[in-house]
Amino acid sequence: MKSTDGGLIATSFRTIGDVAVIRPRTLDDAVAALMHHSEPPAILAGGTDMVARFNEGFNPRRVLAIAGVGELAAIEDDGDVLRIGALVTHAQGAHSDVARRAVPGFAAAWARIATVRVRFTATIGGNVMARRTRYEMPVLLAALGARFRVREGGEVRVWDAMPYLERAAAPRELLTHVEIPLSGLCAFDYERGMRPIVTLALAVRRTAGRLHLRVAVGFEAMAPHVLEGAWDHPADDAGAVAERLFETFPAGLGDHLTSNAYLRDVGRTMLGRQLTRLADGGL
Amino acid sequence: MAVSDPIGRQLDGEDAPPLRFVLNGIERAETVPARMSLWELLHDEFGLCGTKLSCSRGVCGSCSVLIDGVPQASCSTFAFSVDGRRVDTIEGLAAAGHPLCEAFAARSAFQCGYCTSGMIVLAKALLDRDPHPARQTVVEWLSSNVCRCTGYAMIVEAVLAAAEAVTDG
Repeated sequence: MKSTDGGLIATSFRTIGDVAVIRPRTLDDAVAALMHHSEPPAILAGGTDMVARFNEGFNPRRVLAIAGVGELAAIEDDGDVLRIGALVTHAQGAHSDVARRAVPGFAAAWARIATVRVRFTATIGGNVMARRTRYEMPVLLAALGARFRVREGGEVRVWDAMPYLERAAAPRELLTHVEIPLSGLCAFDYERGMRPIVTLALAVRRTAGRLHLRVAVGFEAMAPHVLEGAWDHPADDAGAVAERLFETFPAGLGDHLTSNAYLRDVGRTMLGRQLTRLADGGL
Repeated sequence: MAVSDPIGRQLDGEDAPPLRFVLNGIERAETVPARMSLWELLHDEFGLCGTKLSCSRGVCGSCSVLIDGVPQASCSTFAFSVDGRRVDTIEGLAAAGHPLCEAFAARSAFQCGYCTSGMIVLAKALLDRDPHPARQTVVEWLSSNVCRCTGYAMIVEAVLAAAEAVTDG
């Protein structure tokens, strides 16, 4: 609600105050604009979240509309890393042959985010930067051990997945790319059958002849939590591996939707199903 | 055109960017406040009332329009972002006599009708990409928008019928 001379009114785009728009065409110009103003402009990509925030009362003096920065709209595979520009939309990612070849299962998981209409405009960068715990892309990226490349002024920084996803967005920093390391990555699976209670993303890497599992557990009201362990496939039974991994699920971790005990139970069931699916698929 | 804010202050430059775009096939030039949504531009400046506003946060899709052929919620799109682009609304589709409009009417694919323009616009984007969509594809696309009367079955039938009409015609 917003208090006005006429009384309390529900906020909507009709109540947005004056705002100025800056429309850079290059990454350097975008970064410079973030440094130039005493109050950094709010970054607008696809607009899916920003407009919702405006409707909730957020009213920055300026927005930095980065949609025209073409450098941030590509997906590339350099053999070591799948590099995804922050402006890549969900639709682009879901239909990307580059992404499909580089990380089996990832493009298919990406296609399950949002709706057809929203996927045309919502971006991977916007999904991450919204810092909305119910969003699924951070869950996928946490499992994949993604790194986040940001620019602040002339400085480039690269963050590991969880430290980046757990920190608040820095207002002068621009997320430019999401990078997925490809070394040993041989399978990816995504389960969202119990959303919003819990979702699971699983990345499997083969290192020195062993399979390494990295599981991201997504919740409604918390940042994802990551579990890691080994899988001696095919000797190790999928159910036993899932059981073992969820023994490390921290006591006390839970949200308003469900208890820790229930999360453990449903989590190991889902993970067992994922591992079975991968095994049946010829991993 | 001079643009002012709600208390009469003049806006220019970054506060009121000039805008050139093609609306339902006609080239338009406007200067709009940067804070203005595309829905406001269509509704308030051009009097196009067929695009319906509902949730105001891009979820329900009743305000869908096509921007360069892509369905987008006009409530969640700033007007300045259509600079240099093509916008098509339900009025443009109706004027062109698109078979979707006829199919929705013939099958009574609406109850209160509030979601109808958004559904037709969304379906137009689908048929442009996939002239012969499978029923499941139609269902997946239409689930982007909300019909609060829950009349989805008739809407799906209308889209499939329109696809046949496009193919036949």
